[in-house]
Amino acid sequence: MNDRAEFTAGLMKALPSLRAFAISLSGRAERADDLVQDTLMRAWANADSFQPGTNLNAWLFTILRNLFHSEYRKRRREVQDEDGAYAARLSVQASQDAHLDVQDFRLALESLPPDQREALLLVGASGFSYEEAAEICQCAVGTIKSRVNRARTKLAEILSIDGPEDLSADARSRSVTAQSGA
Amino acid sequence: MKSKKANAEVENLDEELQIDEHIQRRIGTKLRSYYDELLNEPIPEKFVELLVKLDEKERQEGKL
Repeated sequence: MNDRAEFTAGLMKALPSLRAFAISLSGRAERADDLVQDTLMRAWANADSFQPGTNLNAWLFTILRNLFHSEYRKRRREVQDEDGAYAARLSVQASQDAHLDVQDFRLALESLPPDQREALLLVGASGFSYEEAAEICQCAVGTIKSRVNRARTKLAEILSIDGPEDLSADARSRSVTAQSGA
Repeated sequence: MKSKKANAEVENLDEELQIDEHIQRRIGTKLRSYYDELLNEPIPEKFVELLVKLDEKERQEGKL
């Protein structure tokens, strides 16, 4: 009895971070809310497979991520045109919004490849360790690390954040080779 | 078990990929202010309602 009540309380508590992750992944608030709703339903239906005492957030993020990727594959062809429309909508929002900096960042984040974006969001924003993020994404820890690094490098380029040039083209091509083998 | 060589390769790779600390900090700050806005958005009522409904249904079915 207490387990289920605790589980429900855990879901409630996870709502803001699940929703933030869903919005950042999908880039669309309406779709993000569908994702969160599907995640809650699935989590509820599979509550028995959750081990009390283990990381509920990581479990929930895994469900959400899997739902997102199966949806993404399915809808890929349908939404190709939407990206441009979304960027246009954002720039309208941006002019109405005092947080221009945040809007710029959102656009830059949106332009990252999905695997890099989710790795950065899990490690840099959602508070997961590299190990937890690797478990959520079902890949090697080294893969997460290189995705996070590549995401940061790309963001620095897009946002023109200056600093010493640490990443040679050579290192980049080698990291691609390493990742494909990971 | 990973060989020493494989581990060394991973470490080298990390080092090569490691971006400037100053840049990393600035991106981290931007990422967190972007994310904090999302975290502070009000949660749509429907999610809370959904959880309450699921919970009640379970109680009525006598599972609890």
